[in-house]
Formats: sequence, structure tokens, C-alpha cells
Amino acid sequence: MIQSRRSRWGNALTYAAAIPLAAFFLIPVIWLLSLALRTPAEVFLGAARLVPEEPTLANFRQVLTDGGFRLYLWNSVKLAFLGAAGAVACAAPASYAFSRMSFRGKPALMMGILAVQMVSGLVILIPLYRWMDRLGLLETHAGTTLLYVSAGIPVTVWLLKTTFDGVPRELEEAAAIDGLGRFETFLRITLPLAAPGVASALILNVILNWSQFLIPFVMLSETAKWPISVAIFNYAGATNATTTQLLAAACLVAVVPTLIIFVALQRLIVGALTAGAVKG
Amino acid sequence: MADLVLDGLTKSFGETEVVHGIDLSVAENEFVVLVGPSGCGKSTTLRMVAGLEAITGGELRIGGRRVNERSPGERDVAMVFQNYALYPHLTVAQNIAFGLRRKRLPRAERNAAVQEIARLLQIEPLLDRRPRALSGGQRQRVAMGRAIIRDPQVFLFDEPLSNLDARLRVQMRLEIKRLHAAKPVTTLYVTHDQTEAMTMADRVVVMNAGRIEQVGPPLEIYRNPRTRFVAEFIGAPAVNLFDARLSAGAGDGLWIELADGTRLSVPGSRRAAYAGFAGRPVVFGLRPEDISIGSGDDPVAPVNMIEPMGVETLAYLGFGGTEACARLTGGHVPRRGDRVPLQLGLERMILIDPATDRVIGATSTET
Ligand SMILES: Nc1ncnc2c1ncn2[C@@H]1O[C@H](COP(=O)(O)OP(=O)(O)OP(=O)(O)O)[C@@H](O)[C@H]1O
Ligand SMILES: [Mg+2]
Repeated sequence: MIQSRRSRWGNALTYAAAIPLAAFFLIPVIWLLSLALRTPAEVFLGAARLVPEEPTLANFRQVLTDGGFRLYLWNSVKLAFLGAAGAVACAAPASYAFSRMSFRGKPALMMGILAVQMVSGLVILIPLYRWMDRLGLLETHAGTTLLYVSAGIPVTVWLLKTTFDGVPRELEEAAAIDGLGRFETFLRITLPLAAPGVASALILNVILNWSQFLIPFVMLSETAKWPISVAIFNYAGATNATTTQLLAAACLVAVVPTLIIFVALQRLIVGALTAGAVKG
Repeated sequence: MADLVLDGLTKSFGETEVVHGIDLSVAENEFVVLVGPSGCGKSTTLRMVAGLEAITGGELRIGGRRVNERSPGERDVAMVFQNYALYPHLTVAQNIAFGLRRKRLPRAERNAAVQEIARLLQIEPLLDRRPRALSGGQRQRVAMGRAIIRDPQVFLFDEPLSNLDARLRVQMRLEIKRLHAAKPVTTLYVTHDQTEAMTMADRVVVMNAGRIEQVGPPLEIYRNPRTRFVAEFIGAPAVNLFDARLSAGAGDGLWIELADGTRLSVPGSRRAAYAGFAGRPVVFGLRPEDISIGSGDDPVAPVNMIEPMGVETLAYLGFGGTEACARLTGGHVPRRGDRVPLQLGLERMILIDPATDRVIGATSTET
């Protein structure tokens, strides 16, 4: 009895905390949705009319059929996936080494990698810009992808290290006795067993890259090369009252893919993020 | 097949040496069991043989060739791990066939080999399953199959039965012995279970704190332990040890005086060996089966506790200033609280020098 009353109180507290939190994140999205469904005339009514009287999908239609917008979406997809693949490919061997080998200065190096993650992109923006200019990589998707890759590596190294830690060493020893070399063991035993972790590292990188703004904003000035995040920003800058509803629709279209990916795969992602902590 | 020689093998982790020089040769097709308490270095020794742990000092030879620097694959050894170490993403058949990868056999030949092994281990219906869907005993068989199919020079086991329940352990113990009889391979088997060691081994190697205490056939180790450690470690229930004193009697007589004043006469066959210790403190040892119910003028002891085991009964007796365990078979079984006369099989006694913990008069055995 007491137990259940206590847990009911616990539930109430949880909700009391969760509702404002959810509201904090949901209200902007609802506001966007409301705007995106309005006709230009209704946009002027502002917050007074949250549920439009004449809802319309015309804004979405216009955005999705717009050639420029589709190009931005495609650029985003390209940069996000290439960047994620690159980050995982570069991080995997490093993580494997961190997980399996012991060498001098390993803890310091692990912390160093994390420290890099803590440096804000803004701080290094100007030197980075000059570097990329010197290398001739400004205004290229290749250069932008490289930066995505390097931005993703630190988290990915940590994530994959945890994943590899979860693969029993004994299996690799068994493989060594069965005559496999180190690389072959990695390829045929460790990697397949780490597949769920690798997949979620990829997805996490895709999501982070999708919402990446600073790097493409600095790297790319040619309209045709913009990903959706930069495009929307510029679109918003050029906005007047008559295009607000279009902008809202564009924002939603840009956000929805990550939402879908996250909801569909959240169990996998959360599983990988906590794998080391709660391994039974 | 090949013989296996460990020549002064040592292992250090950083500054600390945990294996202090193991000398052991395993003959071709011999089944040798390494036994010892937890942490004594059994696994480390085995892993050095397998090539999973670098050898710090000494030499390891398989079939007469030095293999210290060879990778595990090149040593052509097979190993069964305590947790089986089956590849979870592969089926049973693929797990077993994995060991054949280096041989590059044609597919048909490989499948035939897997089938044959599956038949031998009675796991044919399981071939398409994944390890997750197997019981502990079945996993154990698959792990053995993966090792056997390789037809290796040397077979290594690291406590392969310790994760099984008692009944299955006894069954698999017998099965491994049968397999070895049918397909002999040079084998080094690690366990901390002295029963496993006694029942399976051609020769037992008792290890303690990174050293070999004694090597020999099981019964030899049991009957003629060379140190107090071996005497206590081998045998269940353990040997009874009593603090005592050796004293010279009339003529060439020798007496063992126990703490409670009991005096036992040393049998004639042992007197020569023990004579030098007359007047010194000793530890007197007698195995439980060498204590039985006697008659009339034998020393009398109270029965503190009784454990019926079926064929035999363990009786815990107040004797020699401490408690002694007796293994009684058949006939009259006393009850708790009884006082019984004890007949002691003194011709099988052991005497330990407490200064060195060595068994006095032990014949030195081969290594
Ligand atoms: N990687 C390692 N680093 C440092 N010390 C180690 C390492 N592996 C083992 N040891 C130490 O070496 C000693 C022997 O260990 P080992 O695993 O060989 O014992 P064991 O006889 O197999 O014991 P058990 O019956 O518990 O398996 C132990 O004291 C252990 O702490
Ligand atoms: Mg061990």
C-alpha cells in the first residue's frame, strides 16, 4: 500500500518535471507546424490563431517541388552520410587500439581526444578557414566532409571503444588459436559482433552532421552547394511576412528526417550509448 | 602428434613474477592435468603454451621445435576455454568448421569433417543453431568439436567443466576421457578440481604459487605426496593432520605422541626413515579411509558428527587433540555421541617435517 502510494507520488513528480521539459522542446515545433499549415493571410494573425481555420498543405507542396530546396536536401544527405562513414572508418581502428592494446599514455590520450571535443568550433573557425583556403578546399564538398569527419571522430572513438570493450577478448583469443591474424580477427570476429554499436555510431553521426551549421556556413558560399541548414538560414534572412509560412514548412521538412531516424532507431542508439554501463 | 616440453618457463606481469620456472615434459598422446588452487598460475602457464601470453623466460618446445616466438596459429594447438568462447554470430556448424580455415579444404570435404565430428559428439541436430540457443553442456561439446576437428599437435583445456552442473561435469569428464582414448592427442588440461585431476590424468602436476610441487601418476601423488601442500590438496575429504612429537622408545622403537597424549607405535617399515627425527615435533597425517572402527584395546574416540554418503559414511571424531575424519564403509555405522575404538592404518601414514613442510622419507619422483 505504502509502496504504491509512494510510487504514485514518484510518478507525479516525474510528470511534473517532464511536462515543462517536453513543452520547452515541443512548443517551437507546434508553432512551426501551425505556421506551415497556414495560408499567407492567416500568418498575420500570429499566435491568436494557433489552429488555422483554413489549413493547407500548399506550403509543403511548394517547398518540396522547388528544385533549389531539393538540391539543398540532397547536399545535406550527401554531407551527413559521407561525414558519418568517414568518422566511423577513421575512429574504428583507433577505438580498437584503445580497447585492446595497452600502451604508455593511453588514459591521457583518451582524455585528450575528449578535450578536443570540448573546444567550441567558433574558437578555431578563423584558423580553420585559412587552412582550408591554403589547401584549396574552400567551396568544396570534399573539404566540408573532411571537417565533418574530424568533428565526429572524438565522440565516435569513445562510443566505439565502449562497443569493442563489450566484445569478449576470449573470442579473439579463440580466433588467434584458430589461426587468424590480428586484422582478420578484427574483420571476421570483432567487427560483426560490434555491428549494433557501429550502426548506432553511424546514425548518431548522421544526425549530428545533419544539424551541422557552422562548418558549411563558413566553407560554402555558393548557393548550389549549401546543405539545408545553411539554406534555411539564408532564406530566413531574406524573409518577409509573405514567406514565413514557406520557411516554416522548409524547417519542418529539414527536421523531420532526423526525428524519424531517431524515433525508429532510438532503442538501438540508447542501447549503444549505455552498453558499457549496464552490461549484464 | 607431438610431445610438449616446458623448459624453465617463467612469466612476469610488469615487475611481479607469477610463474617461477615450470619444467614439465608431456609425452606424445599423454594426458597431463595441471591442478592447483586459484591464482597459482595454471591458466598463465597454459596461455603461454597456447601463445596467448608472451613467455618471459625459458623455452617451449612442441615436437622438438622451439615455438616461443610463434603465433598461436603457427603452434598448431587447439584450446577449449572455460566460457567456451564460441563465436555468437556463427552457427554451430560454422563454429566447428572455423578451426579448419587454415587448411583450405574443399567445401565438400569440410562439410564431411564437420558431420563426422558432430556424430562423434552427438550434436548433429544442433548444427544449424547459434550458440545462444544451446545449453551449457551442448556449448561445451561444440567447443570441443571446434578443437578436435583441427587435429592439432597439442590439445589445451582451461577448466572446461567448471561452468557445468555437478552431474553434467561427471558425465563430460568421462566423455573427454573416452574421446582421448579413441583419438589420443597430447593434452594439457587445467583444473582446480582435484577429483578431475585424479580421474582424468595420466599424470598430475600439482602447482602452488607459481611452482610445481609434484608431478606423478594420480595414485602415486595420492599415496606418496612429497609436501604438506600436496598431501592436503589432493584427496577429498582432505588428509587428517595432527601436531605430534616423535619419540624414541625402548630398543629401536619409535612413538608418535599426539597432543592429547595418545601414543602410536611407528610400524617397523618406517622406522629407518623416521629415526633421525626422534625427539622433534612433526605433523602426523592419515587419510580418512585409513581410519576404521577397531576393537577392544584400540584408542577410543567420541563421534562428533556423521555424514552418510550412501556407500560410505564420513564420521568426524574427536581424536589427537583435534577432529579427524574417518571414511567408514559397510558394517556397523556409529551414531553421533557414540564412543568408538579406532583402528589406524599406520603403515600408510605420512609424517611431515613442520620446519620445511616436506614429507619425511618421501621417495623423490620424476618430473
Ligand atoms: N594480465 C595479468 N596482469 C597481472 N597479473 C595477472 C594477469 N593475469 C594473471 N595475473 C596474476 O597471475 C597469477 C596467476 O593467475 P592465473 O590466472 O594463472 O591463476 P589460475 O591458477 O589460473 O587461477 P584460477 O584457478 O583462479 O583460474 C594471479 O596472481 C593473477 O593475479
Ligand atoms: Mg585460471
